[in-house]
Amino acid sequence: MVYYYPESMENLIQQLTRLPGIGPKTAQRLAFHLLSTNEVDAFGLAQAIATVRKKVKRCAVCANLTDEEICPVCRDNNRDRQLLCVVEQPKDVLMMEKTREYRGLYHVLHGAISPMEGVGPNQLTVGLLLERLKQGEITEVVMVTNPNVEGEATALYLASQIKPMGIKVTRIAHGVPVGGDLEYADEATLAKAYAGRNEL
Amino acid sequence: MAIKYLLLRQFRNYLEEKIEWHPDLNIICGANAQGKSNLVEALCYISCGSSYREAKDQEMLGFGQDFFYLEGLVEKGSLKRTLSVGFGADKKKLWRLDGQPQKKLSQILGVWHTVLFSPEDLQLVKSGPANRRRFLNREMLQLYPEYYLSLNQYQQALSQRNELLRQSRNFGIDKELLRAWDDNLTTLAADIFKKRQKVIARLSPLADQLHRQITQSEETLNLGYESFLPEEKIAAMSQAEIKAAMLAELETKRREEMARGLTLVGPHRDDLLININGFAARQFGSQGQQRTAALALKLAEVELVFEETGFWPGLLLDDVMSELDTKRQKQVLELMVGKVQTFITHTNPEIKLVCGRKFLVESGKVRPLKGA
Ligand SMILES: Nc1ncnc2c1ncn2[C@@H]1O[C@H](COP(=O)(O)OP(=O)(O)O)[C@@H](O)[C@H]1O
Ligand SMILES: [Mg+2]
Ligand SMILES: [Zn+2]
Repeated sequence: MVYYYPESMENLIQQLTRLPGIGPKTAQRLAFHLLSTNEVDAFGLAQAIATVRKKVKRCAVCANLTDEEICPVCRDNNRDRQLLCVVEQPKDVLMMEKTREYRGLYHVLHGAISPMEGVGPNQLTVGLLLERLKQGEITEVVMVTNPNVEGEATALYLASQIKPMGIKVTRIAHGVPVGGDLEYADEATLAKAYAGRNEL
Repeated sequence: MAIKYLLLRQFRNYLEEKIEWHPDLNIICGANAQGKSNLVEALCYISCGSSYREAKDQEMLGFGQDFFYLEGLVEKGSLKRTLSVGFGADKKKLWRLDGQPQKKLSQILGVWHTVLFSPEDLQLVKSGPANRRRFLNREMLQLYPEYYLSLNQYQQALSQRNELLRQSRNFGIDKELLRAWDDNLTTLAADIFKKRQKVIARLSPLADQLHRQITQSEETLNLGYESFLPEEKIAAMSQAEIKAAMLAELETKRREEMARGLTLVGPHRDDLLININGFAARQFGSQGQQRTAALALKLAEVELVFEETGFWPGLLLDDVMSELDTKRQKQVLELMVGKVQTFITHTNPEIKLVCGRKFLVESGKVRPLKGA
């Protein structure tokens, strides 16, 4: 009989292969590492995954990830509560926070409009955003979607929905490398971009 | 500007070969399927980062090899620059300039410009508009690396918009969503219209002059840009005005676009017009006229690179010489050799050599031949 890995091992390798950026070879290496490393570390990782999945959910107000009903940013009364920054992903919130330039609130879309991937406004948290804006506290929305065509289309679409409410809509434009991801923009360029945002 | 040597390692059917080039003229001889075009492809690749035969990087790996490597020494006046690129089977590619890793292709483009001329280019005038757009794009990418961004983004926005139009056939149209894509697409399009129009306007007089020299006649050659707006308007209008005009045009086509699931206005539908004595060479030119016009257009590209950069590009002629009659062959050499480093492939090793160096290619091995 040909030798295979034990079924549980095969299963782990399969699961790891499904993670982004991990090929079969890396998956195998990781699986062996998890087997040979000490138990505390391995179970610690398993526990961390289980906990994060159970506890972390979307904030009822801004849709950012949180382990409470409403995230600390949304509850923070020292922020400028008239200013809202719309981003694609939770990681973009971190990017903006690092600029130390921005002191308003956030809204996380969890993606961008992309017909080719079947993503329209309904697949994003657009409804939640529009409801939130109707409450009238927010006076300016800053679009910080990625500087690629999908991010651009998302910003343009949202602007067309928000402007009729009498809310100012701006888009950061300068400094961020065109066609790139926000991730590649360093904090200084992003801060500059924020300062020089354009009205949409 | 000239390339001094090219080193090929595990590229196509070359295992390891270093070729010292002549600064003026290099004739690459050999029977069919020996590697002449592969060599031209390598020269083209190190110059612009892609294969003129539109091959994928993977296909250029020597059979059974796990990487290829190309290295060239380029002389620009007294400045010497070493350009190299390695590609591995893991799909990782590394460009180096003078030994320093380079992350962006735009830092490589233009270190050594080349203009490539293949038999398909002789069909440029009579073939479909897609080929002429490709010609325009390829040329512009080399001269203006930032055009790459506009073009790339435009193509992405176009695919997205087409997909939205297709979906709207089944699910009805979300007008506001479509408007967002229109807005996006037209901004990118206006930029491309402008850039293309400018290049064509510069290319036109150069091509006309070369055409007169080649035909030794008073026939005029004139290039134009065919788009949804007349060329003069594109030249005169601002990008914002062009964008507004395209939005209006999209509006009139909306119904048809929805029915077909296709975007019917934009740079992806445009054409490069080639007129001889004021008539469209594509419809009214004889075959000879069409080929001569294509030749003039290609050589004009060489002149344009010089005007833009101050350096003459390398001229790569793959299987083109044998397609031209002896008179035209002589004219090309007279017009180019001496100012432009020229590379010519030819199946006949007996071909006469006025100056320069001759090489014989046999199964991926290159050796210099005695001249004349
Ligand atoms: N990736 C590759 N690895 C090894 N040999 C290749 C590869 N691609 C093509 N070849 C070989 O190169 C030869 C064709 O070379 P080519 O330069 O097109 O010929 P020609 O001299 O007629 O221009 C063929 O023998 C083909 O088998
Ligand atoms: Mg060939
Ligand atoms: Zn929140």
